[in-house]
Amino acid sequence: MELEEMKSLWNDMSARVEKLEIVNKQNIMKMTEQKYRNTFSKMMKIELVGFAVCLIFGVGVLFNLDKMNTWYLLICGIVALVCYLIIPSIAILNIKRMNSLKIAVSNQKTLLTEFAKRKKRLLFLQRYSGVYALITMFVTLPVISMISNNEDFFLKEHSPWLWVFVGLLTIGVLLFSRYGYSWYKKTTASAEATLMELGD
Amino acid sequence: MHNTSDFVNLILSHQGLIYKITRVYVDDAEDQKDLYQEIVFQLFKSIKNFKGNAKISTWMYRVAMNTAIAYLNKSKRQKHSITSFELPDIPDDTSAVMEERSNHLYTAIKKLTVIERGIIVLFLEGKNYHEIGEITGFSESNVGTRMGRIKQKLKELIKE
Repeated sequence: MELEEMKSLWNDMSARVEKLEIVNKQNIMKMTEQKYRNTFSKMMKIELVGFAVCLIFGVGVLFNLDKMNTWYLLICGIVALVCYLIIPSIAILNIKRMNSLKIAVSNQKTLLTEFAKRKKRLLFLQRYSGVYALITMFVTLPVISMISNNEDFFLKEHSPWLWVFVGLLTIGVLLFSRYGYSWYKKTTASAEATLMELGD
Repeated sequence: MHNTSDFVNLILSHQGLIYKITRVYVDDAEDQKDLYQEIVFQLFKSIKNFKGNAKISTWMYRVAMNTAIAYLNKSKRQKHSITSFELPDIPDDTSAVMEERSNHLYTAIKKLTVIERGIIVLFLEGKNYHEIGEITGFSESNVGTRMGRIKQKLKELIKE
């Protein structure tokens, strides 16, 4: 096949492509809106994986709540349940709210105001994620000790290595939470930028 | 152009251009759809930077090709196509022989490197070396040299 023949084939194909209705107005705007929603899909996936893990722990604690035979162990169990089930659910709900902004039907001012409200809620929970994670860790220790060994964590003597481990874990949890919060801030800022471009 | 409806009209009037770029850069229909959307979004994002120094189609080719190359370079791609959108097939209103030759041409083009694919598409679209240089960023003489190599490669590929 010579180059001229290629050109003529290409022109023929181009003429046929020109006749096609590939996209319409609604599709074009939806394509740009989709970009906004994509920003939160990774966030949602991470939260869902986290929630699945929490759910397993939460169900485990729930079915063993009767083993918490003192008032303080019962409080630890209930707090652990809240940390495992309620807080991740709120986080998922917040991301879902960010994702469900009605971009096409709202005007730019309403949209940005609504976005700012939802962003504030999302970041508020994340800002204190380190605190929740530490509370979860500290209430989980006595609960796990009771469930697995039937021992009261507060009455038992512990090896100093346990406290070293808890100390290191605390630092790790705090650093990870800080990183998570800055990633959330960056992601929401990127979504906000996309939203502003959509309204230009 | 800062108006959304102007942008929509621009895409509508150049939808074939984007379609052809997506067709030579990716293979499966899902990727083609995803790339189409990515190009539309990149055009949308960068339209405010278009100063009117070049023809709008020149600028669109540049954005579309850069987006396609970046898309191919992404090691892990997440597909986020909108569900209500499907890319149509090119209607087959030619003879079976012509159709086969068209497919043969596409297959050969897809065997070229990403840069070569861009250059040959622009050449087949009727752009001269100067315009190809403007879009790809190569000098006119460099485009000429590359075209020589591409023609040779294509001849061999089509012979196979």
